Amino acid sequence: MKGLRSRAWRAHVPELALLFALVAAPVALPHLGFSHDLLTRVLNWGLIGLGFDILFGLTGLLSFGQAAFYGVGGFVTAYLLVSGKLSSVWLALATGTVAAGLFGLVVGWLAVRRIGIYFTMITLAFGQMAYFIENSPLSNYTGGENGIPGIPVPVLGFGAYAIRISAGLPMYVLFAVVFFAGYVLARRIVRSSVGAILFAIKENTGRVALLGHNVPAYKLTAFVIAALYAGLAGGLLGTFQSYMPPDAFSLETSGQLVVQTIVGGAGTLVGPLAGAAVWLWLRDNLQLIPALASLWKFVLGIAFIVLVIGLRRGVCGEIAHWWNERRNLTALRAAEARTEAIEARSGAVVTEPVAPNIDVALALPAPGGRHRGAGRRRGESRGRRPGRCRSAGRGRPSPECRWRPRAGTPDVRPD
Amino acid sequence: MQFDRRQLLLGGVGTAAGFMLPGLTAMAQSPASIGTFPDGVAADSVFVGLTIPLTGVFSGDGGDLKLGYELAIAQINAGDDVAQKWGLKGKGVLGRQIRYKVSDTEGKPNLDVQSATQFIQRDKAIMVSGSVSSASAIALEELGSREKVLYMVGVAGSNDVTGKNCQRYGFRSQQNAYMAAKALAPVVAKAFGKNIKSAFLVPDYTYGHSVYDSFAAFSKEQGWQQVAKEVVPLGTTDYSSALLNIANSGADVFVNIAFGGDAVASTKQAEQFGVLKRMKLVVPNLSSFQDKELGAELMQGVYGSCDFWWGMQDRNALAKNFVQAFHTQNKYYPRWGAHVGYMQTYLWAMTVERAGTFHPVEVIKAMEASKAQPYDTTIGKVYYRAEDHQMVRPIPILRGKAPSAMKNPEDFYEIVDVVDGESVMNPPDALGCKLGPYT
Amino acid sequence: MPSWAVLVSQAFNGLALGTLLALVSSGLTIILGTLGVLNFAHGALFAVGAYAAFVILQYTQSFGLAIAIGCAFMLVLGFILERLIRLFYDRPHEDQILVTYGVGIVLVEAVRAGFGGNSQRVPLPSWGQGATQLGFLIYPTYRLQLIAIIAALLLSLYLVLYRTSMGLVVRAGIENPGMVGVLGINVRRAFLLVFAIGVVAVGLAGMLYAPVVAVTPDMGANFMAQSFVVIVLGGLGSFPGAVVGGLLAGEIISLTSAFNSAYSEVMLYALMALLLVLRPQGLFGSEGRV
Repeated sequence: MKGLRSRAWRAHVPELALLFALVAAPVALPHLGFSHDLLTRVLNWGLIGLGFDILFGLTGLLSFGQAAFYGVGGFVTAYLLVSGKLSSVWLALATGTVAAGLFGLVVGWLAVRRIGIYFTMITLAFGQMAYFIENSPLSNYTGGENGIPGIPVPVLGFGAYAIRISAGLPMYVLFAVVFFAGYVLARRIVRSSVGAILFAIKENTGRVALLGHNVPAYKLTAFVIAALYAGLAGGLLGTFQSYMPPDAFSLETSGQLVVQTIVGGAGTLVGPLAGAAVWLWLRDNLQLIPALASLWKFVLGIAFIVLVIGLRRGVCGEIAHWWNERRNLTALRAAEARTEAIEARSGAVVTEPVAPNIDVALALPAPGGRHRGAGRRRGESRGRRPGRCRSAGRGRPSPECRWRPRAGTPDVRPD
Repeated sequence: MQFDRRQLLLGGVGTAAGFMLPGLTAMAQSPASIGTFPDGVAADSVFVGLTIPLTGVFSGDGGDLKLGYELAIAQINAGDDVAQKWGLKGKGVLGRQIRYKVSDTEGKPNLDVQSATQFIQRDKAIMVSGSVSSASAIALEELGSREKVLYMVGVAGSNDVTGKNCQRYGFRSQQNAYMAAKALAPVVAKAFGKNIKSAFLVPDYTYGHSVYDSFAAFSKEQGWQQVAKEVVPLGTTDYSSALLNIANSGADVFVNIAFGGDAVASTKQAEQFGVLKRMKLVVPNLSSFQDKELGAELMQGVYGSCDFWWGMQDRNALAKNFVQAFHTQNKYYPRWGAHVGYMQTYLWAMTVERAGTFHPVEVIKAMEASKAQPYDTTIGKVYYRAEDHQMVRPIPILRGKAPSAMKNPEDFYEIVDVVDGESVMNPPDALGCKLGPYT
Repeated sequence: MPSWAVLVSQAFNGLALGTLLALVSSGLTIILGTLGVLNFAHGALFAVGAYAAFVILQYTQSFGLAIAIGCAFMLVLGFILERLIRLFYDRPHEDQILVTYGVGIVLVEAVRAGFGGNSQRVPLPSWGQGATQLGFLIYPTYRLQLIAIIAALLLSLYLVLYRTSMGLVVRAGIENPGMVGVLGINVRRAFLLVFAIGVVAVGLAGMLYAPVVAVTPDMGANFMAQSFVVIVLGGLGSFPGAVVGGLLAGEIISLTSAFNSAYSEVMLYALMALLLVLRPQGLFGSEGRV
């Protein structure tokens, strides 16, 4: 029982670590050049990244069009609020998220039928189409390249007790709560049976299909999940800065998401968050160095290349890998100790050293004569090995036959 | 396990609620302290945040803009005789030195908002200025009104900035599209004739449509007939399809509304398509470095208007000071991007000294009352209109000089006329402006 | 409905636009086909080519010489880049995309740091001035010459790929690099050359196009996005596909703008999406790679 309890506790370590980090961040990080505003933005990117990591890190589908869902969620929310159709920010956020999910359903249904680079290209194409459509034909609703300004902030509570979540620390807290909830949900998804199948799809799609699972349906699920997260993040961006920018739809937004995910570490769920922190911090603080004024992006590009070359799995990926290696090492040692304890107690099982593979020239049977194997030593009996390995018909060994190569004999097993 | 999860959720909500409490008390703010006032006013300095595109499509105008701001701030901080001529007393503004930071926004409104928010929250900026492009200006005006921090518009020509999207906390000095068109149309009609055919190249964004609407209306009044209107996406590199249609349209005048890098590309290609051989070129809003990038051969005889031309130094002492100081420091003659930055900074400083305080509401009210007490500036007497915060100001109309007539490598234009601003203003409510509250 | 004259002139214009896209895309598709690397630095290389021409033209007045020296420069740059990307051969494809993305940013910013953000002027060569009358159509002479020049370049590229033994190795490498290696041919060296050729192709496109458009550090971004569409239309890794796809894309953009300029790019992406759903291997790609 104690073992079970400690394992359950250990399973929640990531959530607790994240909670601690979220609480500590606004206190500790401003001294390092992070303002509350920057932290909130990092969380926003982290939220899209949660969904994207499920799509890319877990299922292995690289999408360059997440900006489309980010934008759809954001602009639906913004339009509903600014045009007065909805007065509750929460309701508008929910509607925006659902709209993004529906759009994701449509795009995903078309996209998941293709794999690899073709999938990436389809997402890129849809992302660009959404951008152009938002810019021109729908500009009456989306404000064209002006975006939608004047989005109200969320309000907690009703009437006289309503608390407006103003910019700065309160907004950070809202984002932190939403991100944490999103993270817990994402972890549940990853550790569920659906998540296991998604991971299997990344490893070996053919085998999953062979086992009878509906692979396109699972891929579509991952795609819609990513779209939902992106839509929520888009809506939150609008209320956060009171302005919904049109370049939320652009290819550069999708590209930045991919870059941040890989820098931070794909497959770790918090990788995109870490990547966003690095990218945004570098952008904000490199500009403050006077000598670098307009060179900041150049330095950022070099730093980025160095990161990609040096940290193969991304920042969080390397940390997770190191953590796992440590845990595996201890588990391996523990398992070895257990085995030795069992063996010391029972003593019945003899562990023979495993013979190394030796190169043997197999003797060919003499033409027309009996077997005269060259590898036989004097005194050994001819014929088959003693004991349980008589064929159980049709050349197959009996079930209880256990081959163990004896020193000197070639390691030839019956098929 | 269930026990753990519930604890987690409760703990999270509890922490969140705990953090909300400061927000509650912060809500009860009196007008005595508003926005970044008085926190942003130190005993010896104030902070001004500049959001300027140093990279991207508008980086040419952006670089110019930055140098204009820096010159003005340096002069004000030193309290030298130029600052005295503008009407400032002593060093700095109300005795405080101006500290500033420039943030590169790449011309994207989202980054403008991001940088400005940083300036307001982290640096307690008492004023934010900058931006090239009307989209950025609109976004920043909104932000300023939400955060209760004054925003002086940089380069933005669309009607909406002081029209549909006008804000209490935003003030614009550049002429809007309506004013520019109304001032320019009669001049070009006189030069090229009435009852002629026109072809328009319109970039597909708010500024482009704004300028088109205004100029098409006023040129029609002059008797012009439109035979082609080509709308191109913003940032197009190849205008061949649009220019082919224009070349074959049989127009007499080609009105190019593209701005910045688009203006350069489209004009260069128009010349290659033979459009400029057959038609005269009119540019309702000249871009800052269009002249140098295209060369005098292409720009000769071209009519256009803009915020300022350094040739105006012959008409105005303050302009001469500005141009000479800028040229000495930066080794080229300032374009109007620099002028916008320079003038807006000085106007803000002067208004603060008139109001006697940095309190944003007082400063706004002083600017709105400037009709009774106009400012003396590099372009003459100007004032901000109280109804929409648009500056009422003279508008220079320029014509490109022939290469042989140029007195120095940057002498691209001659000033044909300086139109009085009052006569070309739009009615205040015509563009749908409803200013918001003061607090 | 626009008139016949307008449609014909736009169709002709599409040809000019299409040849340029074909040149840019053939470089991209060759690199993708052989190395499996989707080169996100392609737009930056376009801009670098244009700036190289600008710089060289300031010292020599001959456009032809500028092109020649520029090509040599792009060849060297291509070799250097390939060395960098070689480090990533055994890493997953996403890492290769990332490093090219990073290289693209670095190149664009280096150009911006060196030359500023304002656009530079590259004058038309003396033999390209003026406009030619083609029936009812007036067209810039330089663009007509470009069609001819680029057609010649594409033809020579075709000859290299389909008539030389090196080209044979490259085409075999596109099909099955492992098998080619097993046969004892140094595939890596062939790929190095291929990458360099791809870089030279796009740099050359930049140089040729410099007198036509505004030369800014960001000039290549739009072309790169369009060339992605082209290689999907034509089939990933297929050279004839890139050529045909480029011409097709040019025609689509031009003809759509005859009706409504604002939709010309949307139409291209819509077509790409449609094609990916119905026939993902493109016009000339092979089935089974999907």
